[in-house]
Amino acid sequence: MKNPLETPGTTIVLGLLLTAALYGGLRLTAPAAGPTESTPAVEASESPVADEASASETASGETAATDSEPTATDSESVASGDASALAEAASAEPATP
Amino acid sequence: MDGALLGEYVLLWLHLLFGFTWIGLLYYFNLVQIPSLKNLSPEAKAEVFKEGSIARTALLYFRWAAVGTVLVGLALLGHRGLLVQALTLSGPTNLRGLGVGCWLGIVMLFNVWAFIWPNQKKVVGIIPATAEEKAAAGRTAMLVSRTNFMLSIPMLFFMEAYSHGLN
Repeated sequence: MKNPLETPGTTIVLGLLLTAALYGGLRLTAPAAGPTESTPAVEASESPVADEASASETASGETAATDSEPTATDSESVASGDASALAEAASAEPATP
Repeated sequence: MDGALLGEYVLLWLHLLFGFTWIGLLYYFNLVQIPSLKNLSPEAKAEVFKEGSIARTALLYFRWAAVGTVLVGLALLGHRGLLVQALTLSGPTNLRGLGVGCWLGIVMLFNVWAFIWPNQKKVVGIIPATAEEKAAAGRTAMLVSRTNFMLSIPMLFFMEAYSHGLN
């Protein structure tokens, strides 16, 4: 019988089967609380986008949506995770009707 | 951008540069070079593998890109503080998957330096060998290279799946 590794096609099929087997094994051996949680590749606090979104939610609590547009200064505060600074800056701006 | 985040980007960038070089050449060998060289005469093969040839240059980049990929990958995990968790296959599913990908990459690196390169040295004539020994070494190198080709498929799946929150 020919070794399946001798042709690229059968090697790819073996690779796909191995992928399915390893993934299945990973799921089967997942801890009870594990299947739904996941670790992001980058920490949330390192992501300006994620922090900006959460800061905007804080800022738009009592003001109109247009009030939550961050300024350059706000962005720096957001990047450093200081959501309250953005909320304060947003509420200081005049509300747009 | 703080220093930690810059370090993360640079390490990830280097990991991808080394990784694309390594796996790209692995796929070139398995999909293009090995099938194409199969029907060549011993004299023609000697010409293909002579010093300074494309094949030898490709092998040079191949084996050192493998080293770079794994070392920078481990450094990246260490930088993130996830090295022990990943290598012990603990934590959430995507991190355990990343650990599986890491181990596959480490096994592939071992295969390159323990089996493929020593046998390739006989094939290309760096180590003197008879025609029979060259043929046997060539077959061993080919089968181990194909094994790496096979292992690269789940390895890439788990590496990519980690970034996208596999669960």
